[in-house]
Amino acid sequence: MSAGYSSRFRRFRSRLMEKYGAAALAGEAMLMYLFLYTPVIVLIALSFNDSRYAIVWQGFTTKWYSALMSGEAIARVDPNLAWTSLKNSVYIAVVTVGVSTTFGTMLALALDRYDFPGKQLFTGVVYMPLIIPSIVMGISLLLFFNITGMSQGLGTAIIGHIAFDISYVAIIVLARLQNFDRTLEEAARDLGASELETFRYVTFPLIKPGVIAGALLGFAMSFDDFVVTFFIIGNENTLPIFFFGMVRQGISPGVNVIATLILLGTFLFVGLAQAIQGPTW
Amino acid sequence: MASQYDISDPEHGLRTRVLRSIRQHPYTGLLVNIAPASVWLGVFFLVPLAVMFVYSFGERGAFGTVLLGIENLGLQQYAAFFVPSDTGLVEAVWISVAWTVEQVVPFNLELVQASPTPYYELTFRSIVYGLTATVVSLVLGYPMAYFVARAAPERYRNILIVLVVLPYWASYLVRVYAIKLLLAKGGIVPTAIAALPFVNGEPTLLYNAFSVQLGLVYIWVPFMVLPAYASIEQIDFELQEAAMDLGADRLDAFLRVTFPLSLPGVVAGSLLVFIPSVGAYVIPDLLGGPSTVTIGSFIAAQFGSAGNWPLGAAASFILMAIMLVSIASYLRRAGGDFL
Repeated sequence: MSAGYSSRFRRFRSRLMEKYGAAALAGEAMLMYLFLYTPVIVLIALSFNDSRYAIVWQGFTTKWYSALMSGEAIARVDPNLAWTSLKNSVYIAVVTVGVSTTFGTMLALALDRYDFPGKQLFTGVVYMPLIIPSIVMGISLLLFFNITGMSQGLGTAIIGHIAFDISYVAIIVLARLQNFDRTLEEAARDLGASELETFRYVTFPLIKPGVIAGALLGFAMSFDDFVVTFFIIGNENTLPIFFFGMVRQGISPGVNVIATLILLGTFLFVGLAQAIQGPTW
Repeated sequence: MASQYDISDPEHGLRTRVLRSIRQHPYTGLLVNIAPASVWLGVFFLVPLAVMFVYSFGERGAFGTVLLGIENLGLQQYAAFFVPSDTGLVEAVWISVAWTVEQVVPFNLELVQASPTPYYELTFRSIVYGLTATVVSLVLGYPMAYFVARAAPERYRNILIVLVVLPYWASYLVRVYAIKLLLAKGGIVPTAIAALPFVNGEPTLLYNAFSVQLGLVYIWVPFMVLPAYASIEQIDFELQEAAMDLGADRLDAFLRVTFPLSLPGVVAGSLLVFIPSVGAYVIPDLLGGPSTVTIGSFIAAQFGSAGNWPLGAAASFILMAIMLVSIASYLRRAGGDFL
């Protein structure tokens, strides 16, 4: 009796899945895309909203943009401060990427080519900055700079960013090295190239896409980092820190405009990177 | 002058030989390549962690100073974290366990009168937030990954996956702010809900547990979708057909063949969502209120306004312990080292 019931239920179930399964999947995925993009689109739309309270739609305007562009502050959002913090962010990210791409690539080469005692433990340490909560990393650096008496500012922020960016670069380059054909290097050596020449003309061109991808990810990580920077930058501002301060004070049209500009700037950057490099993910 | 470059010169010959043997030693290349990164990671990552470890055994002095003398070192911060002030160790363990059971079981259960330390409660809350974010991300993200990998037309697959990745490149502070904008009083979502016929009054959606957990899911769900997608895409779907030929229906074939095969992606995704959610600081700070203090915002407060550095350092190591345990147990269950 119960067996008949369960087999009828199973038949019903599989007919249901056959008939509506694909549609349900597609529907769910579409809802998820909506979930991911609605907040961002609403944010962009509200930056053109003609209302001081910034939430309810009152009509289209570009006055917040023109006010900020002409250097006028809207409800505590000071465009000059935003500009300074943007410059700081770019400066930190560029220096960080320069150092960490070099060190990270060397590290990846070493991990790929040599076996040494304690390699597993060492690799674990290299992965750690990616896994550890940013707040723990930021605060440990704060304590360290405090007891060594280093005054906090852009320099200490760069030091901290390099510490986590090295790992990102190393992992991306390491992935690229996994399908690297070592016989090409041997051929170059056999034909008389020195070690440096081999690296310059054979190894580097082959791993270049990985190095560039690592540098791009490193740039994004450094540019976007808030938590680590927050604890070690002292009184200076980066764009995320400036933005965090604005958001804490509440919602205002000025914040909407800055947020929209950050978003569009990032997408432009990603688009450019794609155009130059091809897909980076 | 020429003799200076004469190879037969014994001293010079020795130096060349030493140099050459150093150059050709297999560890020379290793050292040169590995030194800069390891010095940097050693000095600016491991040493700071060690400093923090020492601080976590210290004591708070007057005016927020930290006492690190030998007579001040001890486990007092960890004790303060877990043991309520007027109870013994065994009693504290019982209170914490009983309280946790009370929270977890769905029916009303009264095991103890006393409550554990507030620190224990906020640690528990962070873990609950982390687990909720992970489960919700899995339930929402897995079908999406399955759709993109299997059901979507091939020519749209790339653009669909780019659309999942794109938010990740955008600043997460901006995206958290976008959530705040939607949920704020008078914002679009509360207004829309209030407009429903059977609802009276605007619901409060911001600065509570709901907004924090929504924020966590919103920010981290792409991290579930991507590994799940990568796993599902690699599955040989003839296996599923074979199961169906042998009499399994669609659901059985999915649950017993396809899903287990996609487990590596699910495990990786779960860790990628759980770890940052437990230690989250920005999201509870911007979207939460006084009742949603998590261990991340607690740690930050100890190094800011509350000014108790040793306690904050101890909390940081407790957070790291939670994460190490969760990673280890999760990987053991999944039985692989695919991370």
